[in-house]
Formats: sequence, structure tokens, C-alpha cells
Amino acid sequence: MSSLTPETPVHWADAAGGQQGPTPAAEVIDRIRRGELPPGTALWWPSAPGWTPADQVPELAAQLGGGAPAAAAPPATAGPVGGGHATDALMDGLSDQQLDDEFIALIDRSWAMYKETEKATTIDEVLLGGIITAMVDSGFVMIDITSGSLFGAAAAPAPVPATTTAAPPVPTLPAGTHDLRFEVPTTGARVTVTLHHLPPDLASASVIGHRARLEVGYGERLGNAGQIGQALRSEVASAFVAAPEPGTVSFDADISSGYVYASIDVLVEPDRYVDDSLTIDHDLLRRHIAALVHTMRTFVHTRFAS
Amino acid sequence: MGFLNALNSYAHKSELRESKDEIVFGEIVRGLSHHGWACHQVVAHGDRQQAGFKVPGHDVLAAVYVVVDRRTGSGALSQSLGSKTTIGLAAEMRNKVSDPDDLAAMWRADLANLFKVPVNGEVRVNHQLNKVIARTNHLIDLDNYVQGTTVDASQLVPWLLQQVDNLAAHLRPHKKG
Repeated sequence: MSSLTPETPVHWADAAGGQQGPTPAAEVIDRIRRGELPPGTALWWPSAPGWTPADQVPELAAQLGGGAPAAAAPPATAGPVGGGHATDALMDGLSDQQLDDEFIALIDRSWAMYKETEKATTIDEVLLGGIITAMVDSGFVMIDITSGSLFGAAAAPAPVPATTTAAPPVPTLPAGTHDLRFEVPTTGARVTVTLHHLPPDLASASVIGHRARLEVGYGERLGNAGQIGQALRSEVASAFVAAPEPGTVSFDADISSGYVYASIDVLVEPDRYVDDSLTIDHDLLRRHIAALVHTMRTFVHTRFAS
Repeated sequence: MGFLNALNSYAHKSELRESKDEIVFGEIVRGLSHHGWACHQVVAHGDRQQAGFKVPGHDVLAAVYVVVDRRTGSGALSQSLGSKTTIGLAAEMRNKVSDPDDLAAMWRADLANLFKVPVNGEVRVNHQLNKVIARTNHLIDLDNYVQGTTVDASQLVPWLLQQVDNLAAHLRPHKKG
């Protein structure tokens, strides 16, 4: 038994089994003498071999009246930092290797869940990257992009701007909405894509799956005033479509650059194109975009044929 | 009708000229996607486009972020830049667990980087608990990649990958096993 002086700070177990202290040993002895604590109160101090009833500590026996009957001390529920039989009891029957393995498994699972959430909130942007890749691969160049990320720039470690010129405020799209415009440089033909992610959180995505509203348009420059007038009339008619439903074709005329666009709304399932490792099924995505662009081009050619 | 055509043609050319940064950004997304990186973040508005990529299988990096920031405006500096554009790169490394000792080491590294401005290839390393991020910025000329209706960014993606390798080298000492 190690030496214990009246000044030694000790931990002690209360009636409920909770760990108390550290308290100077003299103070605990006084409380035992006053009857506030039983003589067998379990004590622990840094150099003690373990939790020991107070009446069995040689240094205290005399002060406690030399061998008062030892009442059963309630077991301590937690040991001091760095030791104590309660901590050992918690790990009873488990080897260090098993505990390490459990710890690593918990951390790995946490990261897996973190990635699930990340995928649920960014799957639309993964799809967007796939659309850009498919279009640029086909010979289009991207001439316009506006994209509102759910994670946004706040979560991304954006590189520090190199210049200090204040950028003017620019309008941003709602989170989960993305606008793209592509052009064939040689012919001027254009494709517009608007993607709106509908269930952007993990819970909704788990229950009903990911959904997105995809609007694909095809545009060409018109050659004469008659065609432009016709395009304007079509645009006015399209303005009556307040909330497009799947399959709704609408027209839009851009007088400043002389373009007319035919667009269609469809609902898509991003999960069909993006797997858990964020790998994209480029073939399927390209096939679906090609089908939409082909049909919209037919609409433009049919309606505005010279 | 000739006047209308000329007006439309001018507007079209002007649109293409103003779209050089978006064109280059599209080429970057395509090039890095073909490199096997998964584009998982796209934030774009005005003259600033940012894409984030997951880097599967890399021994150090978890993600890479690329920003194309075309500084335009009425300021003298912006006008003098012309087609010059900032390409910002941020390479992100993740440690699965961080502890107080890491925080102390992070504090020392961040303090050493306090006055570094990551321009012209200078690299700055910052910590955010489990994430360690190395950043750098370069000034490029968009005209090197887009001229009229001709687009050739074939040299841009290998150059970007080279810069990312450099950032990864700065992060490697901070990687925990």
C-alpha cells in the first residue's frame, strides 16, 4: 500500500456508486467520522493499487477507530483518467486489437455516411459535370454557366483571389439550380440546359430517390425578319405555360442575337447516371441528351423552316 | 435585313468573346473528368466558375478545386488584364482522425503561412481540422486557348495536373497513415 497523508487528494465513491473528488483525505475521514459516509467508502488516489475501502487503508485505520466494521462500498462506476477498475471493466473481454478495430470501423463508417450525405447534396452537380463533358466531347463549347451549389462556395476551399479588384454583385441561382448554354462554334447552333435538383436532402433521396427537372433547348439563328416575327409569336404563346409539365415544348426568341429556341421539360433520376462512387454513365447520359436535342432541333426546323 | 444580320452577327461575336472563360472552364471540366476525376461541385456566376473534383485512388488528395476567375469591371487593373484570367487551384487532403497534437502542428504551419499570398505559383497551406488544403493561383491568358471559333485547351489540362502534383507534394508531409 502506498503512503497516504491527510493532504493527499483522493477520489471516493458515493452511495449511488458515482465517483467524487478529488478531495483531501483528511476531509473524507472527517465525513466518515461524522457518519456522513460509511467507513468502507471506496477510495482511490494516484499511487493506490486500486479502489480500497477506507477502513482497510492502514494509514487511516487508527483515525477511523481501528477496524470499524466495513460496510460494503458501492462500486465506482468510472475510474480517474488513465486508470481505475471501472474503465477496465468497460473493456472487459475485449483485446486492444479488437478495440482498435472497432474504433477504426466506427471512423470508417462515419466517413461513409458523410460521403452519403455529400452525394445526396451534390449529385446534381456530378450530373452537371457529366453533361458538360458530354457536350464538349461532341464538339460544343460552353458559352454560359450559372450554377447554385447546395454546398456552395462556403464549403469549398476556394483559392484565394489573386487580385483585389472588387467584383460587382452578380445574381445567383437558387441552390440546386443550374443553367448551361453550349454552342457549336462553326455553325452557331446552341443547346441550353437547365437542371433543377428536386429532393436535395439525404432523407428525401433515401425515400423517393433523387429527382431532377431537366429542361433542354435547341436554338438556331434565324435568317429573316419573317422568321423572327414568327418566333416572337411562338414565345408569346409559350408565356401562357406558367408551370411546365413533362413533355411541354416552349419557344423562346432572343432578338438581340437573333436566336430562337425550342425547349422541353422532363423529369430525370440522377441515380440512373451517377453511381455511389460518383462515376457517371456517360453513354446513357449522352444518349438521353442527344434524344432531347434531336427532337427540339426538329421542332425548330419544322416551325421556322425558311 | 442586312443591317439586322450585321447587328446579330456583332452581338454573337461579342457573346463568344465574353464567353472565353466559360469555354475554358468547360474544357477543364471535360479534361479532368476524362482523367478519371469525378466532378462533384459546380458553382458559377458572373465571371467566376468553380468546379470541385473527387480524386479517387490518390495517395494524398481527396479533392481538387479549380476556379476560373475572369476579373472584369471598370477598374484600371481589370481593363489592363484583358483576356488574362486567374486560375486558382486548391488541393484538399483529408485525415480520418485529428487530435489536439495535430491542432498544435496546424497552428504552427498556418502561422508560417500567414503572410504568404498564393499568387504566381506560390503555395499556401491551411488547416481545417481533418482537412488540410494547399492553394495556389496563376494568371493565364485565355487567348492561348480560345481564338475566335477555334478552341484548343489540350495543353491546359496537363499543366493543371502538374500544378496539382506540386500542391500534393506540399500536403504529403501532413498526411497521417
